[in-house]
Amino acid sequence: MIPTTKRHTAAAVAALAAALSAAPAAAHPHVWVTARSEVLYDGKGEMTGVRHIWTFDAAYSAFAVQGLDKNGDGKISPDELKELAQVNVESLNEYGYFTVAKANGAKVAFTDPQDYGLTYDNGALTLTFTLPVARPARADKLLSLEVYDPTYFVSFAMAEGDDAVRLAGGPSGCKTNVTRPKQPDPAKMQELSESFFESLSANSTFGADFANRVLVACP
Amino acid sequence: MAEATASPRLVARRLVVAVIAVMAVAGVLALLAHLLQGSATPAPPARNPFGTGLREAAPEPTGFGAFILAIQSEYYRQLTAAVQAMKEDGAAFWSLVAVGFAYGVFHAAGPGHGKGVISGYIVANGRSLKRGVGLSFAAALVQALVAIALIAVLALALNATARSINETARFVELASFAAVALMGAAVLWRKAGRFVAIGLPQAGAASCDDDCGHVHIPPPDALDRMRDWREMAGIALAAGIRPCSGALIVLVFALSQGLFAAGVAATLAMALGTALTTGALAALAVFAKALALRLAGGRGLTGARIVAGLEVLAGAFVLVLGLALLAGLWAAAGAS
Repeated sequence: MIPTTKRHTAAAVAALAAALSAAPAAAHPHVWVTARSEVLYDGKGEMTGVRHIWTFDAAYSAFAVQGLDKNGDGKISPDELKELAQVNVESLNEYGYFTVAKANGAKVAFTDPQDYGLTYDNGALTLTFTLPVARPARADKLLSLEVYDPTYFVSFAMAEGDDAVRLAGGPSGCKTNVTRPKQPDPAKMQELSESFFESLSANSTFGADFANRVLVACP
Repeated sequence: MAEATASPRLVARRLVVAVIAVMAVAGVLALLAHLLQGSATPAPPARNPFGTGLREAAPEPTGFGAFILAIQSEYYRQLTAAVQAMKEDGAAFWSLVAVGFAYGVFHAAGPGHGKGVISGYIVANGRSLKRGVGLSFAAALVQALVAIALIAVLALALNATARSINETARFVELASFAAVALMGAAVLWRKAGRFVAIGLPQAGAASCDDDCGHVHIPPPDALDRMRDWREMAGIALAAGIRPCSGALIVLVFALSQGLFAAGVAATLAMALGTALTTGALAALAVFAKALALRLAGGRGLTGARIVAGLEVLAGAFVLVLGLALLAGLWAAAGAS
């Protein structure tokens, strides 16, 4: 009898432990970013950096600018946002600026951001910064750029439209292809629609799909 | 009673039991973490990539986790959309409350430490269903009230920056994790004492006539009851005091739209939803404990030892949880 008891107790403990510990880790994004990016070239087929323009969602924007209207004029000027911009880019360092680039297949190393700043318009906060490469990287054939947060605290989406990614001084004749993450259609936000659940089927890759992939192929 | 007769030998035994339990729990959790290649104990909340606001445990965006994740983010977006909608149309208030509630239900399905603390405590103490659910509601209410108080004082009254809100929240977080560890240590120590005391002759009982093999659980007297309530209050605080970053953002956002009251209502609705999910898990813990008690019932000393051992492990679980969370904070602070 006793071994049975032990087994049952052990099973109960195991079940509870599983319920407590193996529960799906589920932090969801608290920050949404609509990203625009400009790939910078030196005109000789080498990549010299990326300029990011990231616009935050209304709720996070409101949170971030809370209390920053120092002169109380009801507007939040870039000057009042200077300090926050610095905190932003410094904090982003730990996350590799959520930017992964490969030039002709080789991973590109970036250095500290330059020309960074924040603006606040119509309730939306926009962070702009340039990420210089550590050393110019040959990208005359292929360049891939990914912008995403693997921990999904920040949900990145490249802006809609063709101007989401621009090339500055790139080789001529390059073709740019942007793959955006599969996200629930904002238009259907009122309802958790059927198609939304369908998109979460057995082989759902909600996680893997949130990368924004930019491919620049040059002749 | 053995708890009162603290002979050095008993204290030493008690300590050994406690240490073994902590090592066992830590070992099992570490193994689980290794096997799952994820965080068995809730991962310590990492730093916010933009240097403002708390952030929450890292997700495992696959399978069921992805499902919960998707629903959560959907509801969260709806929540902020509802705040915006309310600006134009006051009738959106009810959809804001409804979405807040739904968000709370799914948000609590995540890996937060609150559920671990409450469930661990229930297994350690064999609380009734009513108390388990009550604890869940109390913890959720504490969480909502802390968020509301933080924003009301810091943002509304002092017009503090997001950064100061963040720093205050971090301090609250530290206090919360320390409270978890302390509560775990207290429960573990008490339970280790009981484990050691099982089977010992009652203090003063010289002979072993009809007492042997019969477990003595002291009847809860007034003192015990008071300690009970204190302990439950401590658990509710420890589990609930860390505000959820979503609530902080929604509150500040509502404030910026001139709709602070609506933000408060949404936060309370969220708490109700959270309590429902946490309560369900607490109920599971209550049933698990009841099952263990029933299986062990009538098996004399051995059964009592198994149950007492389980309680010791549950206490150790809460302690390890608190220590792991603190270690996470410490590691994050060291890295920055």
